[in-house]
Amino acid sequence: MTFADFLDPLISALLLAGIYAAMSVGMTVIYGVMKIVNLSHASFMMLGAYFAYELFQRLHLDPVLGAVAALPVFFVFGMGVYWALVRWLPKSNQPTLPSLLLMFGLSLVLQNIAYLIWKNEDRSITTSYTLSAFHIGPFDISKVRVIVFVAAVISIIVLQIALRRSWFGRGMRSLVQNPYASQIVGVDDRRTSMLTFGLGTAFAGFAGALLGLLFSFSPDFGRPFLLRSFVIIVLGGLESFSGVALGALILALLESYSIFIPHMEASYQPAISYLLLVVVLLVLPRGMAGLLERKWRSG
Amino acid sequence: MKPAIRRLLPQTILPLALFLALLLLPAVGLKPNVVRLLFITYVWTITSIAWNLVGGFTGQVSFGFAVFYGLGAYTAGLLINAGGSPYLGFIEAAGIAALASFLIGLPTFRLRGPYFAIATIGMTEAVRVIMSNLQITGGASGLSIIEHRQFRQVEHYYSALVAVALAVIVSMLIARSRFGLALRAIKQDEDAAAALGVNPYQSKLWVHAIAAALTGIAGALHARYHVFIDPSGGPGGVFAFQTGISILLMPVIGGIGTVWGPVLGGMVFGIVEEELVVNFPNFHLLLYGILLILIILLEPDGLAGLLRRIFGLVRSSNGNSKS
Amino acid sequence: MAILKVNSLTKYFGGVAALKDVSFEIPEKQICGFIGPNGAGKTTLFSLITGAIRPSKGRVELRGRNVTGKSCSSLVKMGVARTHQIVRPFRVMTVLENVQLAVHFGRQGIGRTSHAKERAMEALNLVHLDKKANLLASVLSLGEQKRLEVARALATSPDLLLLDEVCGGLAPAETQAMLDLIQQIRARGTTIMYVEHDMKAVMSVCDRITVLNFGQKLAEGKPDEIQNNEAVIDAYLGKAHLGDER
Repeated sequence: MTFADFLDPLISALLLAGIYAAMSVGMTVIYGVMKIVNLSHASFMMLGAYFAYELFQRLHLDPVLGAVAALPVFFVFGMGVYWALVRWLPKSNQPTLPSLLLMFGLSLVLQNIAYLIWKNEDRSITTSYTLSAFHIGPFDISKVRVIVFVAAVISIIVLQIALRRSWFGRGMRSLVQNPYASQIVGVDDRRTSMLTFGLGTAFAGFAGALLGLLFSFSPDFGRPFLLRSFVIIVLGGLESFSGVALGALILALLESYSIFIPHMEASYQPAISYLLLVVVLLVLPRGMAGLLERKWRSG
Repeated sequence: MKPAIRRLLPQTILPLALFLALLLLPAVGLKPNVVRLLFITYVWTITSIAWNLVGGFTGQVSFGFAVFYGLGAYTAGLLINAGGSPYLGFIEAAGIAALASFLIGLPTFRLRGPYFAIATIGMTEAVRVIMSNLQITGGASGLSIIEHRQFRQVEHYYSALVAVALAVIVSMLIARSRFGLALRAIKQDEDAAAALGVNPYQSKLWVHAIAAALTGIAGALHARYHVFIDPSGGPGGVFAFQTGISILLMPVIGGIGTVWGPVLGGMVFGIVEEELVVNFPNFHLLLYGILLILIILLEPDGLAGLLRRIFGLVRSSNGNSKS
Repeated sequence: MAILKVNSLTKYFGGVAALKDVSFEIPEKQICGFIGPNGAGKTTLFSLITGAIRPSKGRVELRGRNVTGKSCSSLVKMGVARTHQIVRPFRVMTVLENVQLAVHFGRQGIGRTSHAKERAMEALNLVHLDKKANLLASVLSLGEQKRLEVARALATSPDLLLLDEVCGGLAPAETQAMLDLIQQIRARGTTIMYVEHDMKAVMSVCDRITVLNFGQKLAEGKPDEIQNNEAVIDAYLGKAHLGDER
């Protein structure tokens, strides 16, 4: 094994981490503000992939632009979902049985509508640059991966800045920290929740479209990514962006370097994220403790 | 006297009468198709009752009961192939499934929040992948179960019926016991329960293990009857995510948190599922999804709640007419 | 002998010390009050003693036995029970079931249902909720829910009972009834730690009072000593006198 063989997974892990972070951000904001685990996140990602696919097939729109176009479309879609379904849920400061089951029911509906439209076959988006690569020294770096990475990182940075600056971002962050107090000072929690849900959905659609550039997909697409998103936000402490970035990097590194484990097949990858989740929950209760403590202080 | 009968009627006499009727049913000379349908329905109902112990009584949502169902199926299958008694196989299936339940419960039940629910999704994926690659179980191509006995459908029918009865009894006993009271307390407020001496962690672990054991038995019944099992292959695969979905749907449809809601849900699901899958192969999960959303938003107590409401209306209108 | 000994108990949330180096002893069969402005660390102290949260530093001894970091449920089984400042009844259980649960899982761990129901009714009698035993807990008024909270804690048969603002939000008549109840509980041999905002209430029932301020112990002594303590007047009573305590 050469040094390059060893370094290669590192590069692919870095590139993968970008998109992993982007897909987890959507789940994080919704969990942070509403304490809802968005189990239909996977279905939103799947729809995002098909969205970019259809735009590419019909209008020959570049899939990266398709992903950007997905942002406003899925934002509106997410707000619609909130208005039609989510707002009727009983409020709670932790995930409830109804919220889990509702979001799960929605994911069943979306996924099976997709089966009716696109049938159960694998699709992929093949652009002119899909198979080309940058050659740097001994490394071949896939162009698509670089493009996806850049798009993902830009989106996260823009979101971060937007949330810092806007009234909405401030309202959102205050709801994350102390829902009770922020309502007293006049944060409209209905409206903030609706916008947040739209935002989370927008990022799911965006990330799904980018993932569609990297992997082939079917209506069943997304469930492994749902699990990854969750592992990532657990690793990162559930509510912070920098945590998400770190979690994404750790998971991507583990997955990339798992090829060095003997008898390890690619199909075992879902098992890696699960194993990581269990290990984190067992070994890192201190990491969780930070979260719990914050709860106590506000309580 | 009269109120005593009124109390006993729904709790003991009605279920007993139903059990006896189902016991005598094969003697009437049913078609094999009908017996098969009833058998499948019983197997589903067991899992429905089991899920409700964890989801309904204790409030912990699991998407991963396919793991226990599949482990039960494979345990029984391998044991039968090794020449063991199928009934011993049922018991071992229960044991293995219960052991597996700790793998999910030990790391996740200690923490509040969504960890358990998500871990069950992960566990299903992971176990299915492993079972699809494992050599001794035949991997993705599945496992044929060869039993050196004559196939007698009635025997399967009765073993499933007895297992349903067992599940109902377990569910009733828990509902009436102090353990059941503790589970209800945990569902409502874990900290408050702990402040009164309940150990939420242990309680959740135990109820999860009991539910897993029952689900393991259901899987074993399934395996023995169907003679062939495989890990994923669509809706029939014992470890398929869809199996976990079905197991969760039944109690929600029937009405979670009660003893009889999940039984009702299992019965309805078992009988309707076959027709639905045959007639709307691409449609039935869509229908279930819509149903799930409607139930959560409109009638969280499921069919049982709906029935109660209708009977309540009837009763109160009767009362009005009398007065 | 002291039933409870707390040694330099400290709790940090993030980087902030909610409680810092607090030490005291609770003598058997006394009513010990804990007062202090909002955020002084009273509720944190209770949560640490009952095992709801773990201390960052320090030691808690129950009858000479180290119980630091023990879980909530195991402390109940050793005879430590608490009420919550914000009531937490199990809303979709009956009042009786609420208390019955505490009998089943409390220190005596009574298994027989009929026996447990009897004991639960005794506790309900004591707080005058026996007539509402078969109602759902959610339909009770706030005052009744506070009494239910006390009945539940009592039903675990504690030696040491921690009461967190059981009079908060009650009408004057209800407050007096609650104070009588507290004295009644002590008369049965239970030691009580009592947090309350209402100064009059605390002064009237407590044998000893500990004052907390910014997570630290400011003073301790008999009620009249506390009332005349300069530091306390400065930090707490002074403001209260000026503002005439809500």
